[in-house]
Amino acid sequence: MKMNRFAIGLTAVLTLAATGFLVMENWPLPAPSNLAEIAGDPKRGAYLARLSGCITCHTAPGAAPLSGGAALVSRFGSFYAPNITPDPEAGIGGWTFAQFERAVRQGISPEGDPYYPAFPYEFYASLTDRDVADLWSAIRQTPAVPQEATDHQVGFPFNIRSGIRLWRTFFERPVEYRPDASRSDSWNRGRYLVWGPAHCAACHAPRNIIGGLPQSQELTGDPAMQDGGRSPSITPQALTARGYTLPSLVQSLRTGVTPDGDVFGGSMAEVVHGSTKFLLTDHLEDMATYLLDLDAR
Amino acid sequence: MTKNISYPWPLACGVLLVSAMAAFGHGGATGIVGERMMGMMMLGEQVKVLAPIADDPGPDDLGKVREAAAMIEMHAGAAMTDLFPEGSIEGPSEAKPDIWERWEEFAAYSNLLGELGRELDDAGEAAALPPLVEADVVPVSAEPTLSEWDRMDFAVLMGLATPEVIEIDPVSTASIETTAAVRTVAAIYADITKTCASCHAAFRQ
Repeated sequence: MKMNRFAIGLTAVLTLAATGFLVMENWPLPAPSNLAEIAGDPKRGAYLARLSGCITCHTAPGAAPLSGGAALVSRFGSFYAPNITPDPEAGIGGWTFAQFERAVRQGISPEGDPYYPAFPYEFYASLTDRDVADLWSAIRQTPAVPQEATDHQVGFPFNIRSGIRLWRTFFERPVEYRPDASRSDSWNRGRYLVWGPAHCAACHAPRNIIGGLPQSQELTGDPAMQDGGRSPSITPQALTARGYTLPSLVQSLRTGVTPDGDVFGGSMAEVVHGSTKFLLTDHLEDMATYLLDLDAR
Repeated sequence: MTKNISYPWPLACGVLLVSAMAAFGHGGATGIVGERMMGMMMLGEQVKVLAPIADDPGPDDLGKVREAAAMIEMHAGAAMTDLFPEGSIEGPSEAKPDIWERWEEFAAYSNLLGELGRELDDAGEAAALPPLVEADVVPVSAEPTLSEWDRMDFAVLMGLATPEVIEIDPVSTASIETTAAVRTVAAIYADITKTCASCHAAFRQ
């Protein structure tokens, strides 16, 4: 009798686990857009690769560009941005444009697996078709590097990739870009840059305990970032209180120097030296215009 | 010969007040921690002075550049590392213990900052040299001014090439000949801020 109960319990647990596994494996993901390839501009793509942090994240210190990044340490484990050079084996040389577009804007690999949200595809969702084509074109012109990617080092249960399907259902917040006709072109471009390719909110918005972004578009900082650090608020009120003006914010994004003569450290130093210092002054001014707008958000 | 101080008490109060303000300005830091925080604040002040003028310092700015260079050099190198005796992280100190675990790296940043201060002074001095005499000026062909976008390069953006180091060519003037290439104030300033950022990223909380 005791044996029967144990067998029944074990069967129930196994059935439940198998059902859960099957459900998660088959949990629906967005359908591919099958975007037809369009001719891209490699220089514009290279600029976008800087702006979007592709080069910063996918390049380890001293390594060839895009040949794979250093560890992104988080409370879930360490994530490694893979090799995205055109190498057919180690990189993405075997991909089609449509597969690249799905990876960047939907966060889904050519095999149909969801990427961990350490890859900020939620922000890249707002990239235009032309942006994606330009990025693809720039990557295709980068020298191929046969450097195998380092596997993520993530502990149980976060190493169950299909769990991300479930996470996406509840926590995914793909950014949609909708111009605000009541604001200036510069403000709108700034909002696109801040919330899209530059993905400022990836660090400056408070994520929940399992890494989900908040509903509101408020860049109030994150007191408990995934890497154990904290990021400051960059709301217009907070920036103004710290002495930022449009010229000084542009200067800070260009040089890493704050209005009080201090310099950014940590990941913001990487952002400046790997990304924002390369940007056009007009684009830095657009971002500053949006970030410092005290009237509305 | 001695000099009599007419108002010792007001002066003493003034010194006390300034010291108190300096201490409270650093979250109440005193002793060696307060001293090095003052040093860091002084370095920050120089960066702040340089920020608006580093890109294109005019003749009136060169004095400020050289003053800032002297201050940076004075507060870097051994002058900085001496203020970090092992384990001194009490009170409002923002120093990480990693400093003493990776002392050579920390000292290298500090020395590099000193070298950059010296180089900045040289650049300020070179920029203050008399202008070229007419006979020495090589006619430059008129080239169209490129936009910021046109000056950007695919290889530099992708990290496949480093931007060209802008150097002042060796020049001959009526009375002085310089042969050593000197980097621009902007390039040295960029390296100073990068050095500060790298050091802060590694060793500051």
